[in-house]
Amino acid sequence: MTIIIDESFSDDDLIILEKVEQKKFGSADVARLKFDAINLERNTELNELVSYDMIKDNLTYKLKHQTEGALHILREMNGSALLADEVGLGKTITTGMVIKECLVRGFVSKVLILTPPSLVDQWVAELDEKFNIKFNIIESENDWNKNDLVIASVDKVKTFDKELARFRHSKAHDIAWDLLVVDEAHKMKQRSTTRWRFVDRMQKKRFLLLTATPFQNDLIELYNLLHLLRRGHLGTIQEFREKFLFRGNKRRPLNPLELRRRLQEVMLRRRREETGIEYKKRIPKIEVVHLTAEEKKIYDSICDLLKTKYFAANGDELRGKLIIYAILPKVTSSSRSAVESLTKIAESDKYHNETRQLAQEIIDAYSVLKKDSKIEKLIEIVDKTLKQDSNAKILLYTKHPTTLKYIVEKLAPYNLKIVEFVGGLSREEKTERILNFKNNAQIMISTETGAEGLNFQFCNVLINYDLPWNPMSVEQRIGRLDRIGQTRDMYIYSLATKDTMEEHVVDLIINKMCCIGLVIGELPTILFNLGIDGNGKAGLSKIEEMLMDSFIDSKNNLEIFAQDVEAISKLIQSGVKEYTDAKNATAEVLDGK
Amino acid sequence: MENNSLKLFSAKFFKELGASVDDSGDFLEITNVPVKFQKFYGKNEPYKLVFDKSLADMDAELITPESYLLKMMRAYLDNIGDSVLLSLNYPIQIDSFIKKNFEMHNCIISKATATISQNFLFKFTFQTIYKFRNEEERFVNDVFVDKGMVLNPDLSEFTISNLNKKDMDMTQLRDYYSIAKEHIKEAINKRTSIIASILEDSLSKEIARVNSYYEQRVKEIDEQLAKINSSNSKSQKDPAVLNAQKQQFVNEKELFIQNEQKKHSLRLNTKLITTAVMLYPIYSIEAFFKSDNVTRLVIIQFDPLNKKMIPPTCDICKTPLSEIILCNGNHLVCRQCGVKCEECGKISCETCLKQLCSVTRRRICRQCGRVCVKCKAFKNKRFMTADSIGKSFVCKNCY
Repeated sequence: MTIIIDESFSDDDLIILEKVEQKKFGSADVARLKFDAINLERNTELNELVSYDMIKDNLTYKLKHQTEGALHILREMNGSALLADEVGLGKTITTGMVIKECLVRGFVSKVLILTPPSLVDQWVAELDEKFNIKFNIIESENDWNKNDLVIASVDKVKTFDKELARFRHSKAHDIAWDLLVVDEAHKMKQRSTTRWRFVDRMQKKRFLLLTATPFQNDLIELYNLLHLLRRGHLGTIQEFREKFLFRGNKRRPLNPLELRRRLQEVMLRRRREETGIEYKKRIPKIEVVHLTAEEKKIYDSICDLLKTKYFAANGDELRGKLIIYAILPKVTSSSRSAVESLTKIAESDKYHNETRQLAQEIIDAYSVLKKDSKIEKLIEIVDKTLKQDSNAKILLYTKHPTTLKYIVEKLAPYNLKIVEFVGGLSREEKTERILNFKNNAQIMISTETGAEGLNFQFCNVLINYDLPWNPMSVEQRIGRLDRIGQTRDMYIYSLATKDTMEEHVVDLIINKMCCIGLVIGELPTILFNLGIDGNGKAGLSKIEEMLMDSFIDSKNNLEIFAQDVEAISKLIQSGVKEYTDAKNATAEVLDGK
Repeated sequence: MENNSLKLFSAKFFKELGASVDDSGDFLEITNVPVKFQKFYGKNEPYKLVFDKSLADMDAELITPESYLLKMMRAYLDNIGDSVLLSLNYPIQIDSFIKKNFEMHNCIISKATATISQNFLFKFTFQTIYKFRNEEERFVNDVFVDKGMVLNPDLSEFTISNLNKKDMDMTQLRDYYSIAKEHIKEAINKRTSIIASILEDSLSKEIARVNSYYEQRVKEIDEQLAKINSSNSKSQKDPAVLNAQKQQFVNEKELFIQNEQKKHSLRLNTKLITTAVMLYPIYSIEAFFKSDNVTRLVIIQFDPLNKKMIPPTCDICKTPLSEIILCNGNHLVCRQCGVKCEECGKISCETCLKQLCSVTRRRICRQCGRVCVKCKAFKNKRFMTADSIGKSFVCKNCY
């Protein structure tokens, strides 16, 4: 079969000829300059990433395996591969390098990235910040022809409309994609799923599948993945079974070396040990706060207000829920933020009189409170940490600016060097404060929005003064420290008030999710595998909503709440086990471990 | 890409526009930028250009290979640098030129002048971009066309300057462009074939994989159908479903083959980036050569572009000459046609030296011999005596 040769001459030639005929001549120096301009863009051989210079300053780490990987995918694999690097090696960065290089060299113009819903924004942000590439999110079926560089949530676009007997986003199939990227591609393990069929139907010149665990329980899953990538690479399913499957053991291949050889033709996989990247341990420290009788009374009153009075007073169930979702984190963050929120309730006409009265009573109770056990616990942790290591750097997180100010005030008498880090700082201010923290201060107190995307690997103590109920937010907090370049184990302190719902939430999020020996990037994959990585109906993360709903449904019964948390914990544990099994199985088959 | 080449290019670009360029080492300060460019770029001057990200600040424009300003500079050039009129200069010193090219045997140059006529040469510069798989190759080729012929001139001895001339005939331009286009097609054919052959090899492997997969799938279904058709079959499978699957495989196979063809396709686009009209001189030299007895005008034509000279020819045999030999009879002769007079030893041509002395039987020139007015015999002048007025000669026998 002969290849398609599309040979053309530019129509613009005639414009030049007309100019000559009309004797409209330019200067020879300009013509020479024009040749210089042509020479500036004359980088043709694919033996280096010509785009690397454009992005290297945006990358925190210059990791050889990432540039080598991108070059290997482009040169040796023609842009189609299963990128199966272990978690934490930066598959996103390697993919970004592939995309950037292809764009700069003019290989691609239409690129689609399919990701889990929870990672859509992260992909957009990373490609923009690190690679200066603007991707647009596919929000509706009409968005497909609007932009060349697009990202879509695979869960959103894969929907098959049975009545119309077509995919709802079938417009995606009409486009000839120069590059298709599928993140967390292990979800493509079943050929019968709409997800698999949606991706299979795509017209794609280059195709990247990203996953650290190409298969989990059954080698057929691996077959399905490669079948999607390259038809017939492992033969027919019958041939694959005969050649590679042990009867009675779906996870162990019959000819492991031959299978590995075949995989290496289409797969790029590097292990952490090959790259020399070290990962340090996260050591969880749950610090229990024992409330005084007065504090406990206030706490119960707040719960009562939120779970019964406040909720009941509004009638509308969903609206009531939303209000609780918004207020609960504030009133549990610190006494100062609680008083602030309660004052708003007490002073607002839109709330029921009984609700406003209760809010005022709590405010009054706060005003006569002599002790703040939570802040005392914080001072104790700070004191202990600095006594152990006078050079220690502490990153202290709170969700609310009001709490941040409150903490600063309370720590003021101790003559500590403190840096405040909140949202809304200019780039220069941020840089100045980071440098201050690194070189001078002992504590940085930050809100989530303040330190998003920043690196503090020079610090190894993190204190969660309050804890977001979204595990990914906590993962983001820890991620500021747990980065390449961190040389020490990290201490993750979290304050948990005894005999309250926080105690259970902290245990779930810290002990069962964020500090269980996973490497950064693994938790989102596990949540994605379990289908609980995205946002819920109210726009919060699914786990956060599950916990909030349980808080509401338990009607101030801590035992019921604890049971619900335990159920979530079990679900997570099953996900972790499934993921660990997949990781081991992948290492066994792909790496011969 | 080197920052330096970007800096050099940027400086040259703005200087060419007539702007002021101040190089402070770390950055270029550009002022007096023509309004036309400011409008084109969409930003008012002054421009502060840096080439190292660490030096970038709010006021400075970082120039990288992908920066917007660099793109705009290139785009601006697209519109202005694509047609030029040039003069190919090849100055000559006429005397030296003659001496270098001709040996003067029995004469010197008494006077030499040159007239210059101008000819047109067209230079079409094409850029060809090959795109295939993840590779891109770019080539820039010049095609010179002169009087409808493709040339490969050596311009190293020429100096090139701008020209401002309007009375040129451009009626042949499009024909010449077509000739150049055909030439470039042929010139890139070889590279196209090489790339096509690499792609074909790769494509045939991919197609073999797809074929093999689908043939095997069809075979497996045929085996299932055969089992169903056998009398003792317990299979629950519906033959119609299996047959439908077979058809689906055929369609799918075509789709995957087409997909592979698209992946292995070769795109090449050739674009004319500049057309240069180049005027070059053709010299016509008029030289007067002077020997002892005669002076002779000789015309020499020289085309420096084609390194082509039209030398004078031998008046006798018409052979082109590389040395100037003047015959006593004012003829220009070659060595073969020039004969020495046996009396004086000077060169004469066959025409001028055709007579023998009737006394000595030696071949002598007109200057050395005389015809006796009485006996009409041609004799060496030594045997002649002039009459009283010295106009007529009589041989001593007749005297």
